[in-house]
Amino acid sequence: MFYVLSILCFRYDITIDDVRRGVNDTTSAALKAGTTISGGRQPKQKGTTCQMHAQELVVTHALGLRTRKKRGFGVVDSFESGRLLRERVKKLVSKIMDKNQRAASKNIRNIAKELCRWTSSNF
Amino acid sequence: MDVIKLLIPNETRVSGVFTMYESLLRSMRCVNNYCYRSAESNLYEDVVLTEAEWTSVAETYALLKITNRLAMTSQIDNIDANCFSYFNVAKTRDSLVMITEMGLNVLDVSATWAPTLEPSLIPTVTKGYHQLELATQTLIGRLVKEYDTYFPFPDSDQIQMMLLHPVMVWKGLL
Repeated sequence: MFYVLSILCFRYDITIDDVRRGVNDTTSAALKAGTTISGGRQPKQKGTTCQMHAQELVVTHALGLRTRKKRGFGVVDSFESGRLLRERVKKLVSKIMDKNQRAASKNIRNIAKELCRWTSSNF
Repeated sequence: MDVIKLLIPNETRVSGVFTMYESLLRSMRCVNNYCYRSAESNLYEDVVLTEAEWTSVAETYALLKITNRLAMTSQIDNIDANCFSYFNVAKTRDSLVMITEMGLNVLDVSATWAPTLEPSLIPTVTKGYHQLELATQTLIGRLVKEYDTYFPFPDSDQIQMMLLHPVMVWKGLL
């Protein structure tokens, strides 16, 4: 805190009184100042959303799960091979781990035990 | 014996996709053996993955591993994580760009490993950019493009935090 205040005072003439006034206020600017100083919460990016959800949008757009449409052109950034692979993986996992397929998951565990024994004896 | 589960992601979880790929690759041999060997194997004819598809899954997993680091660091609540948030974005984007020169570490799908083995201990091979599958090369380009779209430059909050961070000032980064 001392370093932060010294930088603020040295560079921008902001003293401790200015900071106290801001933090004790209830306006949005004061909340923002308090968040910045304490570093307690990730700031939201303007126009979009927080960094984690922006990251989720990046991944889903890149994998082709979300698409962008343009008027008169339809979908402009489709990625069929990526989307199909993701769907096939999800279908496989869903089919094996389905509630109605308890025998499947039990058998897979037995195979896993066999494989563990086999790999530990061979390597 | 500790045997892992195959996890299905929730729609809103960014790391869920990564976890699903990871758990499936760890249990790759078991799933393949089961789908081919079980008495009801005809049930799995339409869902079982081919060798080429497993390679694609391994390459996609390697790319998601890079992007997943950012999702993990952006959820940490401390002042350092906030101050370095844009640097983490730039680092992730540069790691993706550097694949064209340095190559990518991909799980070796031809090897055999126990399903209880930790993911970091599974054998890998380094593939050059041109050895990767065409879909993976396209995916790298798409990820870089999306990072440029969603994180074009640091916003005012991030710049403010970088200005206030003592390490940044001492090192003369700004």
